[in-house]
Amino acid sequence: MKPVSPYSGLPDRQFWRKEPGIVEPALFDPVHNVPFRIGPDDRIVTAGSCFAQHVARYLNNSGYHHLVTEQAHPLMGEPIARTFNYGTFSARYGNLYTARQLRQLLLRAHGAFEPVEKSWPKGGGGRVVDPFRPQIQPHGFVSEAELLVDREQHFRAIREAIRTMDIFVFTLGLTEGWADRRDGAVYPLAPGVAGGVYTPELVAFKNFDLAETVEDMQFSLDYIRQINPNVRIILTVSPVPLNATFEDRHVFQSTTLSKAVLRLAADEMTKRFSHCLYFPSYEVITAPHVRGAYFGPDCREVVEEGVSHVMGLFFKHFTTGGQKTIAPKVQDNPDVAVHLDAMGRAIDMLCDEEAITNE
Amino acid sequence: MNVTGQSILVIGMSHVNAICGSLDGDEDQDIQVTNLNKSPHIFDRRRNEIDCSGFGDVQPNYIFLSLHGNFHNVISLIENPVPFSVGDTEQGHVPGDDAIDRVFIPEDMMRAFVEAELQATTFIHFPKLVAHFAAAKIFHLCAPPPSGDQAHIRNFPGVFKDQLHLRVSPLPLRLKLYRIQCELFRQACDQHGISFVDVPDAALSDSGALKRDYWNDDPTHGNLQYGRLVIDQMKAIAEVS
Repeated sequence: MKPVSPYSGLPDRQFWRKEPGIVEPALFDPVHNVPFRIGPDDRIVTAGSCFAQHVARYLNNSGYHHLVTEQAHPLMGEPIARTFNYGTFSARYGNLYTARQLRQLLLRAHGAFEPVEKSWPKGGGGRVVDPFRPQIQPHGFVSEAELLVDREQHFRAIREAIRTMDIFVFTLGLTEGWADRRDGAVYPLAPGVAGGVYTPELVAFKNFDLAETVEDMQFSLDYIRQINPNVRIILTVSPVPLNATFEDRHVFQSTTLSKAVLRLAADEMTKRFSHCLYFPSYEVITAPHVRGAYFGPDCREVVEEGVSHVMGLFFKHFTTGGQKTIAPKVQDNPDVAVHLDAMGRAIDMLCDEEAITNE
Repeated sequence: MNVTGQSILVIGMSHVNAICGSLDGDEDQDIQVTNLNKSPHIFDRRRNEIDCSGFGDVQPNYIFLSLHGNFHNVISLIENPVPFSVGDTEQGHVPGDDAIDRVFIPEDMMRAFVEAELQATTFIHFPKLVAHFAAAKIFHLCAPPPSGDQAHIRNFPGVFKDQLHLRVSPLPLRLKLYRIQCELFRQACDQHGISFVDVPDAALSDSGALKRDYWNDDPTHGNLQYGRLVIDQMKAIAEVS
Protein backbone atom coordinates (compact mmCIF):
# COMPACT_ATOMS: atom_id res chain seq x y z
CA MET A 1 0.00 0.00 0.00
CA LYS A 2 1.35 3.39 -0.94
CA PRO A 3 2.20 5.69 2.03
CA VAL A 4 0.06 8.76 2.42
CA SER A 5 3.10 10.93 3.02
CA PRO A 6 6.85 10.50 3.65
CA TYR A 7 6.05 10.57 7.39
CA SER A 8 3.70 7.65 7.25
CA GLY A 9 4.82 4.76 9.44
CA LEU A 10 7.60 6.66 11.17
CA PRO A 11 8.06 5.97 14.88
CA ASP A 12 6.13 7.97 17.47
CA ARG A 13 9.29 9.61 18.81
CA GLN A 14 9.56 11.64 15.63
CA PHE A 15 6.24 13.35 16.27
CA TRP A 16 5.85 16.05 18.87
CA ARG A 17 2.31 15.30 19.93
CA LYS A 18 3.04 11.59 20.40
CA GLU A 19 5.51 12.30 23.19
CA PRO A 20 4.14 10.97 26.53
CA GLY A 21 6.07 13.71 28.32
CA ILE A 22 3.51 16.27 27.14
CA VAL A 23 1.04 14.78 29.57
CA GLU A 24 3.43 13.40 32.14
CA PRO A 25 6.77 15.27 32.26
CA ALA A 26 8.49 12.44 34.11
CA LEU A 27 7.93 10.21 31.07
CA PHE A 28 9.79 12.53 28.72
CA ASP A 29 12.46 10.40 27.09
CA PRO A 30 14.30 11.67 24.01
CA VAL A 31 16.92 8.90 24.07
CA HIS A 32 16.98 6.13 21.49
CA ASN A 33 19.26 4.01 19.33
CA VAL A 34 21.97 3.65 21.92
CA PRO A 35 24.68 1.62 20.15
CA PHE A 36 26.49 0.31 23.22
CA ARG A 37 25.92 -0.45 26.87
CA ILE A 38 28.00 0.22 29.95
CA GLY A 39 28.70 -2.77 32.15
CA PRO A 40 29.60 -2.70 35.83
CA ASP A 41 33.25 -3.38 35.02
CA ASP A 42 33.62 -0.67 32.41
CA ARG A 43 35.90 2.08 33.66
CA ILE A 44 34.18 5.42 33.16
CA VAL A 45 36.04 8.71 33.04
CA THR A 46 34.08 11.92 33.51
CA ALA A 47 35.09 15.44 32.57
CA GLY A 48 33.57 18.72 31.49
CA SER A 49 31.55 21.54 32.91
CA CYS A 50 29.87 21.64 36.27
CA PHE A 51 26.91 19.53 35.10
CA ALA A 52 29.37 16.68 34.57
CA GLN A 53 29.83 16.64 38.34
CA HIS A 54 26.28 15.32 38.64
CA VAL A 55 27.08 12.50 36.25
CA ALA A 56 30.17 11.61 38.29
CA ARG A 57 28.21 11.77 41.53
CA TYR A 58 25.49 9.42 40.27
CA LEU A 59 28.08 7.00 38.92
CA ASN A 60 29.86 7.01 42.26
CA ASN A 61 26.62 6.13 44.02
CA SER A 62 25.29 3.55 41.64
CA GLY A 63 27.70 0.67 41.51
CA TYR A 64 29.28 1.52 38.19
CA HIS A 65 32.99 1.99 37.92
CA HIS A 66 33.66 5.70 37.96
CA LEU A 67 37.38 5.54 37.38
CA VAL A 68 39.17 7.87 39.76
CA THR A 69 42.88 7.79 39.09
CA GLU A 70 43.73 10.78 41.27
CA GLN A 71 42.66 9.59 44.67
CA ALA A 72 43.30 11.16 48.02
CA HIS A 73 45.67 9.28 50.26
CA PRO A 74 43.57 6.71 52.16
CA LEU A 75 44.44 8.41 55.45
CA MET A 76 42.32 11.38 54.52
CA GLY A 77 38.79 10.01 54.57
CA GLU A 78 35.81 10.99 52.47
CA PRO A 79 34.79 14.44 53.80
CA ILE A 80 38.28 15.92 53.54
CA ALA A 81 38.88 14.27 50.17
CA ARG A 82 35.66 15.79 48.90
CA THR A 83 36.57 19.24 50.22
CA PHE A 84 39.76 19.07 48.19
CA ASN A 85 37.88 17.87 45.10
CA TYR A 86 39.21 14.35 44.97
CA GLY A 87 36.65 12.18 43.20
CA THR A 88 34.61 15.09 41.87
CA PHE A 89 35.89 13.97 38.48
CA SER A 90 38.23 11.17 37.51
CA ALA A 91 41.17 13.46 38.21
CA ARG A 92 41.41 16.84 39.90
CA TYR A 93 41.09 18.94 36.76
CA GLY A 94 38.06 20.87 37.99
CA ASN A 95 35.56 22.11 35.45
CA LEU A 96 36.58 21.97 31.80
CA TYR A 97 34.16 24.39 30.22
CA THR A 98 35.47 24.73 26.69
CA ALA A 99 36.66 22.24 24.09
CA ARG A 100 39.92 24.18 23.90
CA GLN A 101 40.49 23.48 27.60
CA LEU A 102 40.09 19.75 26.99
CA ARG A 103 42.52 19.90 24.10
CA GLN A 104 45.13 21.82 26.08
CA LEU A 105 44.72 19.64 29.16
CA LEU A 106 45.49 16.53 27.12
CA LEU A 107 48.55 18.22 25.64
CA ARG A 108 49.76 19.53 28.99
CA ALA A 109 49.31 16.17 30.70
CA HIS A 110 51.37 14.49 28.02
CA GLY A 111 54.13 17.10 28.02
CA ALA A 112 53.24 18.54 24.64
CA PHE A 113 52.27 22.01 25.84
CA GLU A 114 53.76 23.98 28.70
CA PRO A 115 51.96 27.27 29.25
CA VAL A 116 53.95 30.33 30.20
CA GLU A 117 51.75 31.01 33.19
CA LYS A 118 52.58 28.65 36.04
CA SER A 119 50.51 30.06 38.89
CA TRP A 120 48.37 32.96 39.98
CA PRO A 121 48.76 34.71 43.33
CA LYS A 122 46.00 34.13 45.85
CA GLY A 123 45.73 36.60 48.69
CA GLY A 124 49.03 37.10 50.45
CA GLY A 125 51.81 35.06 51.96
CA GLY A 126 52.97 33.51 48.73
CA ARG A 127 49.84 31.45 48.27
CA VAL A 128 48.91 30.63 44.69
CA VAL A 129 46.20 28.96 42.67
CA ASP A 130 46.53 26.84 39.58
CA PRO A 131 45.34 29.08 36.71
CA PHE A 132 43.90 26.00 35.02
CA ARG A 133 41.87 24.82 38.04
CA PRO A 134 41.75 27.83 40.32
CA GLN A 135 39.18 26.43 42.72
CA ILE A 136 40.56 22.93 43.15
CA GLN A 137 41.74 23.69 46.70
CA PRO A 138 39.69 25.86 49.07
CA HIS A 139 42.56 28.23 49.79
CA GLY A 140 44.93 27.49 46.95
CA PHE A 141 48.42 26.06 47.37
CA VAL A 142 50.97 27.18 49.92
CA SER A 143 53.46 28.05 47.17
CA GLU A 144 54.16 27.63 43.50
CA ALA A 145 56.62 24.88 44.40
CA GLU A 146 53.83 22.91 46.05
CA LEU A 147 51.49 23.52 43.12
CA LEU A 148 54.07 22.14 40.68
CA VAL A 149 54.46 18.95 42.71
CA ASP A 150 50.70 18.53 42.85
CA ARG A 151 50.41 19.19 39.12
CA GLU A 152 52.92 16.46 38.37
CA GLN A 153 50.81 13.95 40.31
CA HIS A 154 47.70 15.34 38.60
CA PHE A 155 49.14 14.86 35.12
CA ARG A 156 50.18 11.29 35.93
CA ALA A 157 46.60 10.60 36.99
CA ILE A 158 45.22 12.06 33.75
CA ARG A 159 47.55 9.96 31.64
CA GLU A 160 46.49 6.84 33.50
CA ALA A 161 42.80 7.72 33.15
CA ILE A 162 43.08 8.27 29.40
CA ARG A 163 45.09 5.10 28.92
CA THR A 164 42.85 2.77 30.94
CA MET A 165 39.30 4.08 30.53
CA ASP A 166 36.62 2.18 28.65
CA ILE A 167 34.08 5.02 28.53
CA PHE A 168 34.73 8.75 28.27
CA VAL A 169 31.84 11.03 29.25
CA PHE A 170 32.49 14.65 28.36
CA THR A 171 30.06 17.51 29.00
CA LEU A 172 30.56 20.58 26.86
CA GLY A 173 29.73 23.67 28.85
CA LEU A 174 30.78 27.01 27.37
CA THR A 175 32.25 28.69 24.35
CA GLU A 176 33.44 31.80 26.19
CA GLY A 177 36.80 31.81 27.86
CA TRP A 178 39.97 33.78 28.54
CA ALA A 179 43.18 33.11 26.69
CA ASP A 180 46.72 34.11 27.45
CA ARG A 181 47.96 36.38 24.68
CA ARG A 182 51.48 34.93 24.90
CA ASP A 183 50.74 31.30 24.11
CA GLY A 184 46.99 30.89 23.77
CA ALA A 185 46.60 28.99 27.03
CA VAL A 186 42.91 29.05 27.95
CA TYR A 187 41.77 29.52 31.53
CA PRO A 188 38.47 28.31 32.98
CA LEU A 189 37.96 31.62 34.77
CA ALA A 190 39.26 35.08 34.01
CA PRO A 191 42.19 36.12 36.16
CA GLY A 192 40.91 38.14 39.09
CA VAL A 193 37.81 36.02 39.61
CA ALA A 194 39.28 33.29 41.83
CA GLY A 195 42.92 34.30 42.05
CA GLY A 196 45.35 36.05 39.78
CA VAL A 197 45.33 39.63 38.60
CA TYR A 198 43.43 40.79 35.55
CA THR A 199 45.95 42.33 33.18
CA PRO A 200 44.38 43.18 29.82
CA GLU A 201 47.79 43.18 28.15
CA LEU A 202 48.22 39.49 29.06
CA VAL A 203 44.79 37.94 28.62
CA ALA A 204 42.13 38.31 25.98
CA PHE A 205 38.49 37.32 25.86
CA LYS A 206 37.77 34.51 23.45
CA ASN A 207 34.42 33.22 22.26
CA PHE A 208 35.06 30.02 20.35
CA ASP A 209 32.91 29.66 17.25
CA LEU A 210 31.54 26.47 15.77
CA ALA A 211 34.53 25.78 13.52
CA GLU A 212 36.96 26.22 16.40
CA THR A 213 34.91 24.08 18.76
CA VAL A 214 34.57 21.30 16.21
CA GLU A 215 38.29 21.46 15.48
CA ASP A 216 39.16 21.33 19.19
CA MET A 217 36.84 18.38 19.78
CA GLN A 218 38.14 16.58 16.72
CA PHE A 219 41.71 17.09 17.92
CA SER A 220 40.89 15.96 21.47
CA LEU A 221 39.02 12.82 20.49
CA ASP A 222 41.68 11.91 17.94
CA TYR A 223 44.31 12.40 20.61
CA ILE A 224 42.44 10.19 23.05
CA ARG A 225 41.80 7.48 20.47
CA GLN A 226 45.46 7.40 19.53
CA ILE A 227 46.24 6.47 23.12
CA ASN A 228 43.16 4.36 23.72
CA PRO A 229 41.67 3.22 20.39
CA ASN A 230 38.77 1.28 21.88
CA VAL A 231 37.35 3.92 24.20
CA ARG A 232 33.65 4.59 23.75
CA ILE A 233 32.61 8.21 23.96
CA ILE A 234 29.48 9.86 25.32
CA LEU A 235 29.08 13.59 24.75
CA THR A 236 26.59 15.81 26.52
CA VAL A 237 25.91 19.53 26.62
CA SER A 238 25.42 21.22 29.94
CA PRO A 239 21.93 22.70 30.34
CA VAL A 240 23.22 25.26 32.83
CA PRO A 241 22.96 28.78 31.35
CA LEU A 242 25.92 31.14 31.33
CA ASN A 243 26.47 32.92 34.61
CA ALA A 244 27.85 35.93 32.76
CA THR A 245 28.84 36.89 29.25
CA PHE A 246 31.60 39.20 28.18
CA GLU A 247 29.85 39.80 24.85
CA ASP A 248 27.93 43.06 24.62
CA ARG A 249 24.51 41.45 24.63
CA HIS A 250 22.06 39.88 27.02
CA VAL A 251 23.43 36.87 28.85
CA PHE A 252 20.55 34.71 27.63
CA GLN A 253 21.36 35.46 24.01
CA SER A 254 24.92 34.38 24.69
CA THR A 255 23.59 31.27 26.39
CA THR A 256 21.51 30.18 23.43
CA LEU A 257 24.33 30.84 20.98
CA SER A 258 26.85 29.02 23.13
CA LYS A 259 24.63 25.99 23.63
CA ALA A 260 23.79 25.88 19.92
CA VAL A 261 27.47 25.82 19.01
CA LEU A 262 28.19 23.10 21.54
CA ARG A 263 25.21 21.03 20.46
CA LEU A 264 26.25 21.22 16.82
CA ALA A 265 29.85 20.37 17.66
CA ALA A 266 28.71 17.34 19.62
CA ASP A 267 26.52 16.24 16.76
CA GLU A 268 29.40 16.62 14.34
CA MET A 269 31.60 14.41 16.53
CA THR A 270 29.01 11.63 16.50
CA LYS A 271 29.19 11.68 12.71
CA ARG A 272 32.97 11.70 12.58
CA PHE A 273 33.77 9.12 15.26
CA SER A 274 32.58 5.58 15.67
CA HIS A 275 31.26 4.57 19.08
CA CYS A 276 30.70 8.21 19.89
CA LEU A 277 27.20 9.28 20.78
CA TYR A 278 25.29 12.22 22.13
CA PHE A 279 23.25 11.92 25.31
CA PRO A 280 20.49 14.58 25.43
CA SER A 281 20.78 15.78 29.01
CA TYR A 282 20.50 19.36 27.75
CA GLU A 283 17.21 18.54 26.07
CA VAL A 284 15.71 16.83 29.13
CA ILE A 285 16.35 19.80 31.39
CA THR A 286 15.33 22.52 28.94
CA ALA A 287 12.41 20.82 27.18
CA PRO A 288 9.02 22.57 27.32
CA HIS A 289 7.63 19.24 28.51
CA VAL A 290 9.11 19.76 31.95
CA ARG A 291 7.77 23.32 32.07
CA GLY A 292 10.91 24.83 33.54
CA ALA A 293 10.53 22.75 36.67
CA TYR A 294 14.10 21.50 36.51
CA PHE A 295 15.64 24.91 37.08
CA GLY A 296 16.01 26.34 40.56
CA PRO A 297 14.74 29.69 41.80
CA ASP A 298 17.61 31.47 40.05
CA CYS A 299 16.46 30.02 36.70
CA ARG A 300 19.97 28.61 36.26
CA GLU A 301 20.89 25.87 38.71
CA VAL A 302 19.51 22.45 37.84
CA VAL A 303 17.51 20.98 40.70
CA GLU A 304 17.98 17.44 41.93
CA GLU A 305 14.73 16.27 40.37
CA GLY A 306 16.06 17.24 36.95
CA VAL A 307 19.38 15.57 37.50
CA SER A 308 17.54 12.48 38.66
CA HIS A 309 15.43 12.45 35.48
CA VAL A 310 18.54 12.78 33.32
CA MET A 311 20.52 10.13 35.15
CA GLY A 312 17.53 7.81 35.27
CA LEU A 313 17.49 7.89 31.48
CA PHE A 314 21.25 7.48 31.42
CA PHE A 315 21.09 4.28 33.44
CA LYS A 316 17.99 3.05 31.63
CA HIS A 317 19.53 3.35 28.18
CA PHE A 318 23.26 3.00 28.70
CA THR A 319 23.66 0.37 31.34
CA THR A 320 23.08 -3.33 31.44
CA GLY A 321 21.95 -3.44 35.04
CA GLY A 322 19.98 -0.23 35.37
CA GLN A 323 20.36 2.13 38.29
CA LYS A 324 21.38 0.70 41.61
CA THR A 325 21.66 2.52 44.86
CA ILE A 326 24.72 1.72 46.85
CA ALA A 327 26.83 3.71 49.24
CA PRO A 328 29.62 5.69 47.61
CA LYS A 329 32.84 3.79 47.54
CA VAL A 330 35.12 5.09 50.24
CA GLN A 331 38.72 5.08 49.11
CA ASP A 332 39.90 3.14 52.05
CA ASN A 333 42.89 0.90 52.31
CA PRO A 334 42.79 -1.85 54.91
CA ASP A 335 46.56 -1.73 55.39
CA VAL A 336 46.44 1.98 56.14
CA ALA A 337 43.54 1.61 58.56
CA VAL A 338 45.26 -1.24 60.38
CA HIS A 339 48.52 0.69 60.52
CA LEU A 340 46.85 3.82 61.86
CA ASP A 341 45.05 1.81 64.49
CA ALA A 342 48.24 0.00 65.48
CA MET A 343 50.18 3.27 65.74
CA GLY A 344 47.43 4.87 67.82
CA ARG A 345 47.33 1.91 70.18
CA ALA A 346 51.12 1.89 70.44
CA ILE A 347 51.13 5.57 71.35
CA ASP A 348 48.43 4.92 73.94
CA MET A 349 50.46 2.09 75.44
CA LEU A 350 53.61 4.17 75.42
CA CYS A 351 51.85 7.09 77.00
CA ASP A 352 50.81 4.85 79.85
CA GLU A 353 54.37 4.02 80.64
CA GLU A 354 56.36 5.95 83.15
CA ALA A 355 59.79 4.97 81.93
CA ILE A 356 61.63 8.22 81.48
CA THR A 357 65.08 6.94 82.20
CA ASN A 358 68.17 7.84 80.29
CA GLU A 359 69.19 11.07 81.88
CA MET B 1 64.43 29.85 91.05
CA ASN B 2 61.51 29.98 93.39
CA VAL B 3 58.20 31.50 92.48
CA THR B 4 57.13 32.60 95.89
CA GLY B 5 53.42 32.53 96.39
CA GLN B 6 52.82 31.77 92.73
CA SER B 7 51.54 28.27 92.23
CA ILE B 8 51.78 26.34 88.97
CA LEU B 9 49.62 23.42 87.98
CA VAL B 10 50.75 21.31 85.03
CA ILE B 11 47.97 19.29 83.45
CA GLY B 12 48.67 16.81 80.72
CA MET B 13 49.24 13.30 79.57
CA SER B 14 52.43 11.39 78.90
CA HIS B 15 54.65 14.39 78.17
CA VAL B 16 54.25 15.55 81.77
CA ASN B 17 56.14 12.46 82.97
CA ALA B 18 59.45 14.12 82.09
CA ILE B 19 58.42 17.18 84.11
CA CYS B 20 57.14 15.17 87.03
CA GLY B 21 60.31 13.12 87.22
CA SER B 22 62.51 16.21 87.26
CA LEU B 23 60.82 18.19 90.00
CA ASP B 24 63.12 19.15 92.83
CA GLY B 25 61.10 18.88 96.01
CA ASP B 26 62.35 22.07 97.64
CA GLU B 27 63.05 24.19 94.62
CA ASP B 28 59.85 23.30 92.82
CA GLN B 29 57.44 23.08 95.70
CA ASP B 30 55.02 25.47 94.02
CA ILE B 31 54.63 23.19 91.00
CA GLN B 32 52.01 20.46 90.98
CA VAL B 33 51.58 18.00 88.12
CA THR B 34 48.41 16.18 87.18
CA ASN B 35 48.79 13.37 84.69
CA LEU B 36 45.30 12.95 83.36
CA ASN B 37 46.05 9.42 82.21
CA LYS B 38 46.51 8.53 85.85
CA SER B 39 43.59 10.57 87.13
CA PRO B 40 40.44 8.66 86.26
CA HIS B 41 38.42 10.87 88.60
CA ILE B 42 39.21 13.78 86.26
CA PHE B 43 39.70 12.22 82.87
CA ASP B 44 37.58 9.45 81.38
CA ARG B 45 39.93 8.22 78.65
CA ARG B 46 37.41 5.96 77.00
CA ARG B 47 34.92 8.78 76.54
CA ASN B 48 37.58 11.47 76.23
CA GLU B 49 35.85 13.62 78.82
CA ILE B 50 37.32 15.85 81.48
CA ASP B 51 35.41 16.42 84.71
CA CYS B 52 36.90 19.57 86.22
CA SER B 53 35.29 18.93 89.57
CA GLY B 54 38.03 16.32 89.97
CA PHE B 55 40.54 19.14 90.42
CA GLY B 56 38.81 20.05 93.69
CA ASP B 57 39.30 23.55 95.01
CA VAL B 58 42.75 24.01 93.53
CA GLN B 59 43.04 27.47 92.02
CA PRO B 60 46.64 27.94 90.90
CA ASN B 61 48.00 31.17 89.49
CA TYR B 62 49.33 29.47 86.39
CA ILE B 63 48.14 26.50 84.42
CA PHE B 64 50.48 24.82 81.97
CA LEU B 65 48.63 22.38 79.76
CA SER B 66 50.40 19.59 77.92
CA LEU B 67 47.53 17.71 76.36
CA HIS B 68 48.19 14.83 74.00
CA GLY B 69 50.86 15.99 71.54
CA ASN B 70 51.78 12.68 69.96
CA PHE B 71 49.36 12.61 67.06
CA HIS B 72 52.14 13.66 64.70
CA ASN B 73 53.94 10.48 65.70
CA VAL B 74 50.90 8.35 64.98
CA ILE B 75 50.93 9.71 61.45
CA SER B 76 54.60 9.99 60.66
CA LEU B 77 56.93 8.17 63.05
CA ILE B 78 56.79 5.03 60.90
CA GLU B 79 56.25 5.04 57.15
CA ASN B 80 52.62 4.57 56.18
CA PRO B 81 51.88 1.36 54.21
CA VAL B 82 51.06 3.82 51.41
CA PRO B 83 54.03 6.16 51.75
CA PHE B 84 53.21 9.83 51.35
CA SER B 85 54.87 13.19 51.05
CA VAL B 86 53.37 16.45 52.27
CA GLY B 87 53.27 19.82 50.52
CA ASP B 88 55.82 22.39 51.57
CA THR B 89 56.27 26.07 50.83
CA GLU B 90 59.97 25.95 50.07
CA GLN B 91 60.64 22.48 48.74
CA GLY B 92 57.31 21.71 47.14
CA HIS B 93 56.98 18.58 49.22
CA VAL B 94 58.81 16.70 51.93
CA PRO B 95 60.43 14.37 51.79
CA GLY B 96 61.43 15.33 48.27
CA ASP B 97 62.66 12.80 45.78
CA ASP B 98 63.87 9.92 47.92
CA ALA B 99 63.42 7.01 45.53
CA ILE B 100 60.20 5.95 47.22
CA ASP B 101 56.98 6.17 45.29
CA ARG B 102 54.91 8.45 47.49
CA VAL B 103 51.36 9.79 47.25
CA PHE B 104 51.51 13.57 47.48
CA ILE B 105 49.23 15.18 50.05
CA PRO B 106 48.84 18.98 49.81
CA GLU B 107 49.81 20.73 53.02
CA ASP B 108 46.36 22.27 53.51
CA MET B 109 44.79 18.85 53.20
CA MET B 110 47.11 17.26 55.74
CA ARG B 111 46.47 20.23 58.01
CA ALA B 112 42.70 19.70 57.69
CA PHE B 113 43.14 16.02 58.58
CA VAL B 114 45.31 16.70 61.64
CA GLU B 115 43.06 19.55 62.74
CA ALA B 116 39.97 17.35 62.64
CA GLU B 117 41.70 14.79 64.84
CA LEU B 118 43.07 17.36 67.30
CA GLN B 119 39.75 19.12 67.51
CA ALA B 120 38.02 15.90 68.45
CA THR B 121 40.63 14.65 70.90
CA THR B 122 42.28 17.71 72.37
CA PHE B 123 40.99 21.17 71.55
CA ILE B 124 37.55 20.08 72.65
CA HIS B 125 38.82 20.29 76.25
CA PHE B 126 40.02 23.89 76.07
CA PRO B 127 36.74 25.71 76.79
CA LYS B 128 36.01 23.63 79.87
CA LEU B 129 39.51 24.09 81.30
CA VAL B 130 39.57 27.80 80.55
CA ALA B 131 36.22 28.26 82.25
CA HIS B 132 37.19 26.20 85.29
CA PHE B 133 40.49 27.98 85.83
CA ALA B 134 39.14 31.42 84.98
CA ALA B 135 41.34 33.14 87.58
CA ALA B 136 44.56 31.59 86.30
CA LYS B 137 46.78 32.52 83.43
CA ILE B 138 46.76 29.52 81.11
CA PHE B 139 49.56 28.31 78.87
CA HIS B 140 49.97 25.28 76.67
CA LEU B 141 53.35 23.62 76.32
CA CYS B 142 54.44 22.58 72.88
CA ALA B 143 55.16 18.87 72.62
CA PRO B 144 58.82 17.95 72.14
CA PRO B 145 59.96 17.63 68.53
CA PRO B 146 61.01 14.35 66.91
CA SER B 147 64.46 13.02 67.57
CA GLY B 148 66.77 13.54 64.64
CA ASP B 149 68.18 10.08 64.35
CA GLN B 150 66.42 7.14 62.74
CA ALA B 151 68.92 4.77 64.37
CA HIS B 152 67.82 5.91 67.83
CA ILE B 153 64.23 5.00 67.03
CA ARG B 154 65.29 1.67 65.61
CA ASN B 155 67.35 1.01 68.74
CA PHE B 156 64.56 1.97 71.10
CA PRO B 157 61.42 1.07 69.20
CA GLY B 158 59.52 0.12 72.34
CA VAL B 159 55.90 -0.42 71.50
CA PHE B 160 56.57 0.34 67.83
CA LYS B 161 58.75 -2.70 67.22
CA ASP B 162 55.98 -4.48 65.32
CA GLN B 163 55.76 -1.59 62.89
CA LEU B 164 59.47 -1.21 62.25
CA HIS B 165 59.35 -3.39 59.15
CA LEU B 166 57.68 -0.40 57.49
CA ARG B 167 60.80 1.67 58.28
CA VAL B 168 61.19 4.85 60.28
CA SER B 169 60.07 7.89 58.30
CA PRO B 170 62.68 10.38 57.15
CA LEU B 171 63.23 13.25 59.57
CA PRO B 172 61.93 15.96 57.21
CA LEU B 173 58.57 14.20 57.04
CA ARG B 174 58.43 13.75 60.82
CA LEU B 175 59.34 17.41 61.32
CA LYS B 176 56.72 18.49 58.80
CA LEU B 177 53.93 16.73 60.64
CA TYR B 178 55.23 17.99 63.95
CA ARG B 179 55.24 21.60 62.72
CA ILE B 180 51.75 21.29 61.31
CA GLN B 181 50.60 20.00 64.69
CA CYS B 182 52.37 22.85 66.51
CA GLU B 183 50.76 25.49 64.28
CA LEU B 184 47.33 24.01 64.91
CA PHE B 185 47.90 23.99 68.65
CA ARG B 186 49.01 27.62 68.47
CA GLN B 187 45.91 28.61 66.52
CA ALA B 188 43.55 26.76 68.82
CA CYS B 189 45.24 28.27 71.86
CA ASP B 190 44.89 31.76 70.38
CA GLN B 191 41.19 31.15 69.86
CA HIS B 192 40.71 30.20 73.51
CA GLY B 193 42.91 32.83 75.16
CA ILE B 194 45.63 30.31 75.98
CA SER B 195 49.27 31.31 75.51
CA PHE B 196 51.21 28.78 73.48
CA VAL B 197 54.73 28.06 74.74
CA ASP B 198 57.38 26.99 72.25
CA VAL B 199 59.89 24.25 72.94
CA PRO B 200 62.92 25.66 74.79
CA ASP B 201 65.52 26.81 72.26
CA ALA B 202 68.21 24.89 74.09
CA ALA B 203 66.45 21.62 73.23
CA LEU B 204 66.49 22.18 69.48
CA SER B 205 69.11 21.08 67.00
CA ASP B 206 69.89 23.18 63.93
CA SER B 207 67.29 21.23 61.96
CA GLY B 208 64.62 21.81 64.60
CA ALA B 209 64.73 18.24 65.91
CA LEU B 210 65.20 17.33 69.56
CA LYS B 211 68.88 17.44 70.57
CA ARG B 212 70.48 14.14 71.43
CA ASP B 213 70.89 15.16 75.09
CA TYR B 214 67.11 15.15 75.49
CA TRP B 215 66.21 11.86 73.80
CA ASN B 216 64.35 9.44 75.95
CA ASP B 217 64.70 5.69 75.52
CA ASP B 218 61.42 5.63 73.67
CA PRO B 219 60.78 7.22 70.30
CA THR B 220 58.33 9.96 71.21
CA HIS B 221 59.08 11.66 74.54
CA GLY B 222 61.71 13.92 76.05
CA ASN B 223 63.82 12.63 78.91
CA LEU B 224 64.24 13.99 82.44
CA GLN B 225 66.76 16.59 81.31
CA TYR B 226 64.17 17.82 78.89
CA GLY B 227 61.68 17.91 81.72
CA ARG B 228 64.09 20.09 83.69
CA LEU B 229 64.40 22.52 80.81
CA VAL B 230 60.63 22.83 80.64
CA ILE B 231 60.34 23.35 84.40
CA ASP B 232 62.82 26.23 84.22
CA GLN B 233 60.96 27.61 81.24
CA MET B 234 57.64 27.55 83.10
CA LYS B 235 59.12 29.25 86.14
CA ALA B 236 60.68 31.95 83.99
CA ILE B 237 57.35 32.59 82.31
CA ALA B 238 55.56 32.71 85.66
CA GLU B 239 58.08 35.15 87.01
CA VAL B 240 57.60 37.67 84.23
CA SER B 241 53.87 37.21 83.83
